Parts: sequence; C-alpha cells; structure tokens
Amino acid sequence: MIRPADYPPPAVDAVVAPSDPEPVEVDVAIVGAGPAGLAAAIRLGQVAPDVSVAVLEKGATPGAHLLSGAVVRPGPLRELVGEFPSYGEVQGEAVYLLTARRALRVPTPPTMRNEGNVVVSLAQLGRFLAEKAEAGGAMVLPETAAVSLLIEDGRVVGVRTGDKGRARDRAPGPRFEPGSDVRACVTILADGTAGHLSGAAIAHLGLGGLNPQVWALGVKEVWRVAQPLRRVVHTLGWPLRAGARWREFGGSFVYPLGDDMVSLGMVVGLDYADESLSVHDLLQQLKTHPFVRGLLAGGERVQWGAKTIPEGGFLSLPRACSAPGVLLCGDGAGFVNVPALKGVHLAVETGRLAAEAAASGDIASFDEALRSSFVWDELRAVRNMRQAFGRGFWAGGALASVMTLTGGRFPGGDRRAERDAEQPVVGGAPRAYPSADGSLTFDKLSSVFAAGNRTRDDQPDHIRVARRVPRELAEMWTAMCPAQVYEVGAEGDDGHVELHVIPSNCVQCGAITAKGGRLTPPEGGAGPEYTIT
Amino acid sequence: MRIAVCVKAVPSAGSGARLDSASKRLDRSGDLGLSEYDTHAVEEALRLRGDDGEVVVVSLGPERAADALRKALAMGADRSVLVSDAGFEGADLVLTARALVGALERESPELVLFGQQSPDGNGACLWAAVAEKLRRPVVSQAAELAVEGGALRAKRQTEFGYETLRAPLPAVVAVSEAINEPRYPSLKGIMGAKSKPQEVLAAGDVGGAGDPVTTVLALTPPPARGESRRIEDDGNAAEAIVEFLAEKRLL
Repeated sequence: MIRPADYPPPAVDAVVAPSDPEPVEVDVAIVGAGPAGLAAAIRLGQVAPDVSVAVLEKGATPGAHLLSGAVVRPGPLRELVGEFPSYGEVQGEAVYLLTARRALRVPTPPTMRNEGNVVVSLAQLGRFLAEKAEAGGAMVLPETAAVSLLIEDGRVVGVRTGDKGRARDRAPGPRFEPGSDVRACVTILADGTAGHLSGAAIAHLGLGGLNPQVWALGVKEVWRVAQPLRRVVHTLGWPLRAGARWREFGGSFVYPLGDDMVSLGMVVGLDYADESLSVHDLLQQLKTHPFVRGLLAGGERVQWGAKTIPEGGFLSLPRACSAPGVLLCGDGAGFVNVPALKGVHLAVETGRLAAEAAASGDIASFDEALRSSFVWDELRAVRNMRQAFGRGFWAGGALASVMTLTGGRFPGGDRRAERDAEQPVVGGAPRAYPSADGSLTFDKLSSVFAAGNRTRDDQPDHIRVARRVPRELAEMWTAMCPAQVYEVGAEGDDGHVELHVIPSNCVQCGAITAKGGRLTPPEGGAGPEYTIT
Repeated sequence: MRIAVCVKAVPSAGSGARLDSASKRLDRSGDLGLSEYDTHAVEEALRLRGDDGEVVVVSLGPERAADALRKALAMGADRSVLVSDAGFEGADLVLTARALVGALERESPELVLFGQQSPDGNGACLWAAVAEKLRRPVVSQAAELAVEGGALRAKRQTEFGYETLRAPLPAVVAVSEAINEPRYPSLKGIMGAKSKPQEVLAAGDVGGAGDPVTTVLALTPPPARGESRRIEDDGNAAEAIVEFLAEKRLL
C-alpha cells in the first residue's frame, strides 16, 4: 500500500528570527491581497486611519492569483464597501445528475440555494478591493512574497519577504535583490488556501484543530459564449466514479458572467485514490458531455486556472485564530462553508473581525469575536448536518450526493481525521480522457499559457516534494497537477522512479500541499496572472 | 544629468487582449503593465543618472497607465509624467510623438531613452519620430551606452556586427534588450514609489491633440497554423522527429 504521506518532502523552515538591520516597519502587516486580507486592510482604514498598513501580495498585481467560482453571499461585502463589481444577482439555478449521456435534473438542496447571491469574478473583485484599501490609506505591495514568519521570544513580529533574482541553484544572480524583514505590531495572515505562512503558524505555534485540514482541487475555465446562460448550474455524477473505493466526491459548476461569458469548473476532493485522476482532464471530459457542450456552443475559451479549496470545515479550523502578534483569517485558516460552496463572504467577515481586533489593541479578542459572529453559527450548523447525509455516491441517496458536491466530507472527529496524503494510491484502472482538440478540449500546457503564467524559467524551485518515489506515486502527482509540473523519470535499482519537477509551469493551486508535498511561494511577481477567474 | 525615459503601459500577459474589430484597435481594457522593452531603458537611465541626476518617466496613455508607471518609480526613477487626454485616444505614431514631444519640451532632458519597440504596437520607430520633432540626433539598437563630456558613445547591435557611434547631447537613444538586465524593484522601492511625484498632463499642456495621420483600414487575424503533426512520446519521439525532419528535407 502506497500513501503519499509516507514520502514526505524535505523540511520547510518557514520560521526565522529577525535579522534585517534595516527592516521595514509598519503597524499591521497583512499577508495576501485576497478578500480576507483586503477586507482587513479596508476595515483598518475605516476604524484606525492612523495605523500604518502594508498588504504583501505575491502575485504580479492584486487579483492575479485569485480564482473562485464564484457565487457570493453579498452581505459582508456590502456592509464593508457598499456596491462592488459583480455580474448581478443569480437569476435561477438548477442541479443536474450526469450520466455519460444524460443530465437528470434533481432538486436543489437547501444549503445550495442562491437566491439573493451574486456572481463575481474574484480576480476582478480583488483589484477593486485593492483600490479601496489604497484609498483608505493601506499600502498594497504586489510582487512581494512573504516567505517566513519572524518570531522573537515566542511572538510573531512580522514576516520576511522573498529574495528576487536568484538562479535555479539558488545562487544570487546578476540582478539579485534580497528580501526584507517587515516588522509589525500585528501580522494578519490571509494567504489563502494551502497558505504557506498560515500553515507555518499553525504548525509552529501549535494551533492545529481537531481534524487536519483537507482540500479539494478546482480547475476552471472562462468561456466567451454565443448564447447567454441565465442561471447557475451545478452538476454531479459523471465523469466521477461512483464506487466507494474510489472516494471521488465532487462536481461541476457553470455560472453566467454577464450575457456573453460563462465560468465553468470541476471540483474534486483530494482524498481520491485513483492514480490516474486529473481534475484538469475531468473538466475537459465534462465539456464533451452533450449537456455541457450545448452551454458552450459557438464559444471560445478565454482563460483557465486552478486552485484548491479547504474543505475540512468547522472541525479543521485552528483551535485558536489568534496567537501573540498574529491573526489567521480566510481560506488560510479554513473558513469555507462546503455544503453551500461558499467562502468569500467568510473571508471578508473574518478579515474584518481580524482588523477590528488588531485596532482594539487586544488581538486575543479575535477568537471571541469569531465565536459570537455568524461565521461560527454558519459553520457549526454545517457540521451538525453531516449526520443527515451519508457518504458515498448512490448509497447516500441523491440528496446526500448533492450535499457532498465538492467533496464535502462534513468532517466529524470520529468519522474522518485523515489527511488527504494518508489515502492509499490505487492504480490499475486508468481513465480514458478525451484528447485535446484545441477548441473544446485543451492540454495542460496550453492551459497554463491561458492562465497568463509567466514565471521565469530559471528561478529557484519553490516546490518541496520527495524526488525518489514509487512509480504509482509519481504517476499520481503527474496526473493530479493541472499545470504539468511533474514528470515521471527513470526507474532506479530500488524500483523507485525519479520525479522531475518543472516549477515554472506552477499556477500555485496548492494541490501538492494536500497530497504529500509542500508548495511555497515563488519569486514575487511569478505565477499566473488571472484577470477574470 | 536629467534623463527622460519614454515608456508605454501595455496589456499584461494574462489580460487576453484582443483586436477589437469595431474600433480597429487593440482592446486595452484589461490590466496594463510596463512594457518589458522599456524596463531596459529605465535600468540604463538609472545606471547613467549619477549622484545629482534625475530620471523622469514620460508616457502617453489612459489614466490607468499610472499604475504601470509606478513600476518604473519602484525601480528607482524619480518621478513620472503621464499625458492622458481623450483627445489622444487611438493616437497613431505621429500623434503619439507629438504628445511625447510636448511633454519632453517641458522637461528639456539631456538624454531621452526609449525601449526598442512596444510589444503590442511593434512599430519600433517612435523614437525616430520624436527625435525628428525635437531635431536631435538619434541612435537605435544601443547595446552599450556611455556619456562623456557632453556627448554619448553608443555601441549599436546590427545584423552584421557592432557599430560604435558618438553623438552630441541632447540626444535620443533606443536601447536594445541586450544592453542590461533590469533590476527588480526592492520592497522599499515599491513602498517609496507611491509617494513620488506623478504628474498628469492634459492635451492643452502639451500643445494640443489632433487627428491621427494614418488610418487603420483592416484587421486580419494571423493565418491558422498550417499542416502540423503531433508526435506523442511513446519512447521513440526522437526518432519520429528526426524522420519527420528528414522527410521534409530539413536535415
């Protein structure tokens, strides 16, 4: 039995002592210009205009690394900023169960109802929120990766930003630019799904919750289409396999972006077993279904991207989201309502509460504020619902299947406390994915191009993963990665193969962190440049 | 020495910019970034600036272009001047040159630097038009540049070898990508950029706009890729490629 967890990556030391003789000093350092971090920055501008705020963003621009469905509950955003750019309220919705040829309409479960919710492009929303944050006095600093937590006497005192201009072998190149220590009274970690520093803080400060975090991987495309889509569509079933041994929980979404575009994606829980499972190729396969193909008729692909979603829910939250000098919020801490397929409103709300705690001078009040907010009630309610819905595809019944749409496992301490990387790899049943035709279906490399990825080829490798592993595991990682980062190399005498890594293809989805490796930030400014995902 | 660097905010890699057949223009509604070609000119200006010099970034573009200019400020340029006016929308080479010259005349720099071309328009001659209007010498494809005693010395990259020229200042120089490796903005540079002077000029400040002299008659997408063969690597890809090349008499 082969489990990814048995082949751990080289250690990642993401905690350092301050060392910069001339650090950048701010009152509040926020890591990540996503909905959580920018909500925190905007709120700080509102309640504490004299507090200096820096938002560090690894992407080339705010929003460049943001990707979501996204149908958003607008309340927390409206409360924070008033109106925001969206593609309007959801006009109607439908859930379908797919077989290889047919699409059967099934009732929309209550948790998934979207009345009053709005469709957004998170990449566009990020740009808008960054402008708001700057207007409120925050410094938004793109192309700046936060690579280490600064810890002094058990207290987080800021972060260190990444070096730029190192060569593949990490030696300083001709235009080497060293990173800086950014010292802050309060550091707010909002670095998103599989966040590098949130992970480091949880591990180093002992903040882990009852269950480990688990993730799903989503791959999505934006299409310009001939016929407007007037409703929000979710599907489950095909091309995922129903058998319980495959542990394939997930589904797809198709959302309208105005009259001439749709956003469609496939989401699969990363506790799957099949070594040949590729979410990217499942999305390609999904598009060949007559039902989905019909929605895209006459259209063309505009953009592509991939990102993980934390799915552990309530029981995987850190046992505390505050520790001396630091606050955790948004996806990095795991604030996602899986049965509702929503996390943006929770990111905004937890970011806002983190800002208020930081402004109050008593950052430990953040945990109390979380417990008395709607966030806590909402996620707890989801946890309690899990007893009503069994796992598995057919056995659980149609409703339970719908509830587990994105692999939502309703993680109860007793029923599930395993990391995705602890699931055994099952081979021997390779899938037949459609070959890329370049108009409806695409291969991984052309997709990476459609993500606007422009990572320098000779930058240091930012992916930590075991390099000599059983063939099955190397095959699994190769299939899993939507961006073709991994290739299976030659087999050695020990029966293990060499794993080749092409880090410049990476779009920072985070799947490798779930499945036995560890994604760290690349050089600032690298990675995808999403504009409408 | 005061050095002006003329730069352009161009659609970013990921913006999926398209030719708009209605307006016959490139759709620039998405993210704009500083042209990579121009980062070489900014780097060279910073290198030549000296202790008491000044580097001014000059551009024509929409107001949103200010963000792209900030990248040059983050690298170390001292201030920026953006000509932004509806009257210059859809400006062609001649009109763009007029706007830049209007802004440059307010600055009277000793040296004006350009990137060799823009990645979107690909004209590679704006520097010549600006030099002509300013009545100044121009050197293109500069792969090395030095300033000594009121004159510049430039090594030009040509198809047949290098050519070394001397020209009196003030002058206009378009640098090639080979001239340097542009620096990364430091964190302090990125932070400091926001407080540097960023001036926005209207058409009236630069002598007025006008009508483009050239007209786009047609836009045609590039022809579809011709006959291609996809070779899947089943362990014999190298042989298959050699066979293909031999068949086409390319070996």
